[in-house]
Amino acid sequence: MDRRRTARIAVWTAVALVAAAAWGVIALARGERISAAWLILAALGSYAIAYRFYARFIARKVLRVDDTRATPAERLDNGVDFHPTDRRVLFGHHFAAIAGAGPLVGPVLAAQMGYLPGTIWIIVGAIFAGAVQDMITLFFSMRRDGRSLGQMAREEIGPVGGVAALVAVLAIMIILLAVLGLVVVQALAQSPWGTFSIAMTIPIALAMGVYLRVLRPGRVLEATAIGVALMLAAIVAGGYVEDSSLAGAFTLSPRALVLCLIVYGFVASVLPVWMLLTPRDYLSAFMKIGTIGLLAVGILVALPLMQNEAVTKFASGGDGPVFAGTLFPFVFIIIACGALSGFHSLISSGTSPKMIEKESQVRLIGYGSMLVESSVAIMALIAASIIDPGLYYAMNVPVGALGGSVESASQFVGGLGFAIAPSELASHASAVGEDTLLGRTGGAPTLAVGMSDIFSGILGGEALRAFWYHFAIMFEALFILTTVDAGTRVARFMLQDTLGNVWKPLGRTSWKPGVIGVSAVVVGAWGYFLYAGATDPLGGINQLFPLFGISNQLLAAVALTVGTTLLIKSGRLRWAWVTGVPLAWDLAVTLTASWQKIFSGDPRVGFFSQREKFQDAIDAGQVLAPAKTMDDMHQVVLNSTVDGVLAVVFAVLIIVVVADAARIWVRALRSHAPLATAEAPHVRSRIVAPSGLWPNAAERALARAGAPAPSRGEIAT
Amino acid sequence: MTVRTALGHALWYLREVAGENAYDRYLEHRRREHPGEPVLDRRAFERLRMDERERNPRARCC
Repeated sequence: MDRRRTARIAVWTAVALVAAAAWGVIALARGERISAAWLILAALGSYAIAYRFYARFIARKVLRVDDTRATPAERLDNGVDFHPTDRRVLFGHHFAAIAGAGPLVGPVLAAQMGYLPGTIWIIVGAIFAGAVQDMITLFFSMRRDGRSLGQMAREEIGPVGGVAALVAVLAIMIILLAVLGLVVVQALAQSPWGTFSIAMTIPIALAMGVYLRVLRPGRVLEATAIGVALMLAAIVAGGYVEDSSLAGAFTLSPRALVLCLIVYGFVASVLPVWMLLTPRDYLSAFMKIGTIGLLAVGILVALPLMQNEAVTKFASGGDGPVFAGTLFPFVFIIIACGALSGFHSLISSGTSPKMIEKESQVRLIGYGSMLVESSVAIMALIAASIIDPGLYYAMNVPVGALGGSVESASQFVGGLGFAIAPSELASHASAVGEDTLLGRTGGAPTLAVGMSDIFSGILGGEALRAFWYHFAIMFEALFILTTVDAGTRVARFMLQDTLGNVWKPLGRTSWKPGVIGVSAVVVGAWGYFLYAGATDPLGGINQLFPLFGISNQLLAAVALTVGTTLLIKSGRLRWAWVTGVPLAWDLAVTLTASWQKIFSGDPRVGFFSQREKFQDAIDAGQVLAPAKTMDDMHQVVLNSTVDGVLAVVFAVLIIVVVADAARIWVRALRSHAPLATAEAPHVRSRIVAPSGLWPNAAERALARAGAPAPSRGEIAT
Repeated sequence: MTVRTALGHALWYLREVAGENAYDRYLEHRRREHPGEPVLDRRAFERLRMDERERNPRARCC
């Protein structure tokens, strides 16, 4: 066996050397353009080493996973929500649930600071914070019969921390839904092609729903295949709609799109799930996996050169036109999903812990899925960095600053130090079949341009560029709408659950008036922020996205606090740094960002100084650009007040959760024996299944020896 | 691995991820835990399963 050991050491040394070399090229190259291949190599090499060594260390030493212990899936198997699920299948489920538009949008905005800061944070953040959070939350929830994060906070920290955690979860849902809605609105405004294609997904989903309910119950793959084919047809048809007399009907202003989205969100959340939500979920899950796979292949085949600088002047200046603020803390706020996403802790303490077959599989499901999501974020960063920087800024700066014409935009971008001719701006737009690309903030359109560049480079050339652009828009909008639909429902359930304590009937999910009323409250809440964002004279994305990032990192702080508390309570203080260090970093980032958003004297960064600046102007009877009217001015004042108050609320919530947990930490440190936790007792497991993606030699031998077969698994038909 | 078995594996994986096998799993569960008792037909089962999702919505991340 000694030779095999030597070979293993040689392989891992080689992986480490390749990763180190790639990091060296990325970090040291100045002045010349590097290939995107280096980013991919650095990422994959780092992930491999982290998964092999760090994740294994966490599983064995820190969490002490115990495969003799039956998981909730085995103990409580009811064939419905609790059932042991093949690790590869659960990996697919878990990944489809955590991956969405977030890792695609944040890195695009953060590209303003150059590709280097984003790349480092996405890779290092995922390895030491994001994947750790996902894995540890999954583990602790699994040890507690699949308890949710809020329940764990209440049971393990206390009622104060528990309530704060619940409020945090609700708040992030609302902001998340508003920001994602805004991304869709920015992508579809004045775009008949895009709007038509997305609108068609509604009848397509309804048709799939009827197919699955009435015609062929349960035949999901058939229905999905039909749905995907119809969707591709809808994208092609969009091109014809754009040139037809129907174009007018699908050319909508941001305001009109917001109203459509609000109505859609409300109707979708009160309709039975089989009509819209479930079929749309199937469509979006398969589209997601397929498109991400396609993008990976595209980047590996095309190996594009990075056009963006490694670090731009906006990193230190803090005066970036896409979003204001310096590299620290804002890169770490803007890129949440893909590096550290608190929202994942809701998934890790949701369905996945009820389906996991063996304890040791938390490494593959929790840590592994997050590494894949991190690689998606790297791909998004690459897609945003291979397009002409001039075009990047013309697309991502709010239209209020750019002015409405290609000439004014070209001049503005020239003022930033990036040359792009008006004719080039026009030709880029017509190449993707759009009237204009100016001020298409929100990340999705930029990513779509990058993706159409990569895809058309390997398949179809110029002829298919417009198709690929709308394909990318469609794929993002599709799963954003799925998130909106599912998120509204989840938020409604949480709110009903809470309100049910006050007035019983509201808690009953079968009481229609309650369902409709609470749905309206939830939709109204995110609808308000969406409307305010879409009509914000200063540009909604640059105002709301930092808040979204802060709220997401706040949720991460809750999850990491619960993890740290459990490690300390169970007598594992010496390993508490595994979650404690990312928690400290997350607190530093989030609280610094909150501080600046609340107290900064720079009106571009601080909400309250922004409010003051515009209020003073109103008092003096002046209208400040980019506002055009007094109404605009009042709207800026209202928005910055609301946003500022929210920033205060988020900061207070973080402090409350951590302070309440610190109380428990002190108690645990003073105690001689580990404190009691709500962990379920040990029950002997009868299931045998591999821990990793591939069974190792020992596991194969066990299977051959006639150990209870992994039941599901190696059967093909 | 031949192309045929590879395709077989891929199909197995897709069916599992999509939940098409839920009914088979239910039948197996009934046979194991409640042998001899009547079982739902597929239509009724899928209806029940869908309504279960009505009561337990799953979050989708950003």
